[in-house]
Amino acid sequence: MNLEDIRKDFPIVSKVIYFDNACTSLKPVQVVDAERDFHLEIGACIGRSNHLLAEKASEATENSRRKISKFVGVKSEELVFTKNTTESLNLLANSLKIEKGKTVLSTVLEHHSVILPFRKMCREKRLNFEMLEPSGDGTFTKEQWEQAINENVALIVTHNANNTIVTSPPLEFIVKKAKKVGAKVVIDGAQGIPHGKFNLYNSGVDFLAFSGHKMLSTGGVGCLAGKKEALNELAPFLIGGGTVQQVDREKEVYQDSPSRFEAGIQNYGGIVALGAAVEYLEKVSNFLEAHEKKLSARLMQALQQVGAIVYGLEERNAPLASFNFARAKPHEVSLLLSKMSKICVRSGMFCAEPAMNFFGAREGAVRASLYFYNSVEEIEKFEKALLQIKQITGA
Amino acid sequence: MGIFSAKYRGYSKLAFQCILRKVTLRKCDTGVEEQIRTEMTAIASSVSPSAAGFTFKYYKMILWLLTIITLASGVLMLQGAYNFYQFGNCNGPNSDEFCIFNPTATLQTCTQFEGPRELKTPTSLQGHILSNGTVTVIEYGCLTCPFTKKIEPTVQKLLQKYIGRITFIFKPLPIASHNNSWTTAVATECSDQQGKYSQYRETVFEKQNEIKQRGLAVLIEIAESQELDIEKFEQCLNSTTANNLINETFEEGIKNGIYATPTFFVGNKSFVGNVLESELTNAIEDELQ
Repeated sequence: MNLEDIRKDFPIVSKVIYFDNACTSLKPVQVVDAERDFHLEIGACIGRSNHLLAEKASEATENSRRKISKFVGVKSEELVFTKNTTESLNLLANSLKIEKGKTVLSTVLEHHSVILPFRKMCREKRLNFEMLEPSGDGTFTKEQWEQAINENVALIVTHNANNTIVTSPPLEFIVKKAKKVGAKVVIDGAQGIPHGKFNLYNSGVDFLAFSGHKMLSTGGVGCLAGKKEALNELAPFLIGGGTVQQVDREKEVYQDSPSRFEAGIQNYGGIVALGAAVEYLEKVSNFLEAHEKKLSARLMQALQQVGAIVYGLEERNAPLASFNFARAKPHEVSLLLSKMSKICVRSGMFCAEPAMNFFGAREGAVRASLYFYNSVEEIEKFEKALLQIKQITGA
Repeated sequence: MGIFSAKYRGYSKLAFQCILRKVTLRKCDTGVEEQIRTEMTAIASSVSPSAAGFTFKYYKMILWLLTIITLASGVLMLQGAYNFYQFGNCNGPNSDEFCIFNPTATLQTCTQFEGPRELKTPTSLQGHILSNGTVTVIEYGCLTCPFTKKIEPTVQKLLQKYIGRITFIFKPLPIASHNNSWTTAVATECSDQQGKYSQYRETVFEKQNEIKQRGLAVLIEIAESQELDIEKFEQCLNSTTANNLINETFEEGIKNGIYATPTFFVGNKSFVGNVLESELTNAIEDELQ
C-alpha cells in the first residue's frame, strides 16, 4: 500500500485539499460502490420478509455487523446500529439506570453530544453532573482523575481522542479506578476509532460509541458497542417494529440486544458501506499508523513556522490541530483558505464550546484535521497559504 | 449584485437577513460580513498580494464607495428615465445623444424620419461644393445636429487628404426637431453670399448649443464677429432666395430617402451616421481605382 494508490480511491483529493476529517471523512470508491451495489442488487429489508432478497439483505448486513464488531473487539450481538455517535450517546443517557443523587463525571473537553444528553439526564433524574478541567496544556493527569473518581461517581463519560486538541485521557487508569468504585465507563470514540483499533473487552470500558461517517463510511450509521449483559440492562430507547418479540393489547416483550435498540427499518445500505469501510481500514492499518505520525509532525512544524497559536501539546497522536492567528478571525482565515487555495478546514467552536472557552478561544479557532490519505505536499501548500493569509490580514 | 447575478444571490439573502436582525435590535449572526470581506480579498489576491492586503484592510471603505456609486448611478438612472418620459431622450430636451432606453433610435444620427429607408444616390450637384475632383462625395448634414458636428473633423481630413481628387458637396438638410435648424441653414447660406461660408460654418458648429437656445441672436453675433455686412445679412435672412436654396436641398433629400443626418454618399455607396473615417476612405479609394 502506498499513498499514491490510496489517493486514487478518493477522487475528491485531486480537486481540493481536504483537512476537515474530524467533521467527516472522505469516502473511497470501494465504500460508495458497496452501498450502491446493495441498493441496486439487493435493496430489501431484513428480519421481516423471508424472500430471497430479504435473505441476501440479512446476510449482507450481518456480515457487516461481524466485521465491525471484530474491529472493536466485541461479539456481533454486542454491536447496536444507531444513526451516529450522538444517537448512541443519547440512547445511553436515556436508558442507563443510575441511583438518585449519584454523580456523572465528564470533562470540559467533551463534544456537545457527550455533555448535553448526560447533563439533561442528570437534571431529569436528579443526578450530579461534574466536568473535570484539564491542565493548562489540555492534558489530564492520573492525579486529577484520582481525585475526581470517588464512591459517589456512578458513570464516567469521556473520549479516547478529543476533537479539538486530540489528546487522550489515561483510559487504563480511569477504568481501573471506575471498577473500584463500581462506576461504568462510556467512551466517545468518534474521533479515536477512525485512527486506530480499539478493543472494548481489552480496554475494560462498558460502552463505546462511534460514527461511520468519520471512518470512511457514508452518513447515517453509527454504533454503540457494549458487553451483552450491560446492553440488556438498558431500557429500550426508540421503540417500534423490530424491537419486540411479542406484542398484545396490553403488554410487549422486548428483544435482546441488538434488535431491542434497532427500531424500524435501518440504513442497511449504510451498514453495508460501514462494513466495507472497516475492511478498507484493516487493509491500510499499518500504513495509516506510520503515515499519520509523519503528517502529525509536519502539521505541527507548519503551524509553528507560520507563527500560529496552537492549542494543546506540540506532540500529538493524530494529525489534528486547532489554532488561531493573533489578529485574524478564525472564520475569515478558513474562508480565505477555501476561496484562495481550495483548502477545506473548519472554523468555530467545533461543537465543543466549553473546551474552546477553556483555551481562551472565545471566537473559536481554525481546525485542520488530516487523515491517512492526506500528504506532506498538501501540508506544504497549507503552510504557504497560511503565510499568504497572514500577510494579507496583517495577523 | 444579487438582483442581476445568481452567483451573488446567496450573499444578498444573507445581507437582508442581517438587516432584518439589526432593525429588530438583534445581533447579526449571518456571517455575511466575513463572507463578503473574504470574497473581495480572494478576488484581489489574483491581482497581487498587496491588493489583497489593501482590500482586506479597507474593505469597509471600498464597500461604502461602491454603495455611494450605486446610489449615485441610481439617481442618474431615475433622472434619465424621467427625461426619457418627458422629452423622449435620457439627456434632456433637444438632445440627440445616445439613450440607453431607446438605443436603436440614436445610432449617432439626428433623425428626420423613422428609418432606415431606401436611400437613392443624389444626381444633382446642388449644395456647397467644398472641393473638386473626379470622385463625388456627398454629405447631407444639419448644422444644428451634434453628429454632423462630430464628423466635421473627419470631413476636413478627407478634404485635405483627397485634395484635387474628390468633389465634396455639403447639402444642408435641417432636422425639424432641432430648434432653429432652418434659420441656421439659411444664415450659413447668407454668409456664403458674402464669401464667408467656411468660417461662418465653422463657428456655427462651435456655438451649436447656444444657437439651439438663443437662435437668431447668436447667428447675428457670429456674423458681426466675422465682420459681415449685417444689413445685407439680415436682408438675406428674410429673403426667399436663401430659403429656396435650403428648400431645394431639403426636398431633394426627402425624395432620395434621407431619414437622418449625417448621411454620406461615395459613388453608389451610402453611409448613415457618425461612421468611421476608415469606412469613408475605403469607399473613396475604391472609387479612385
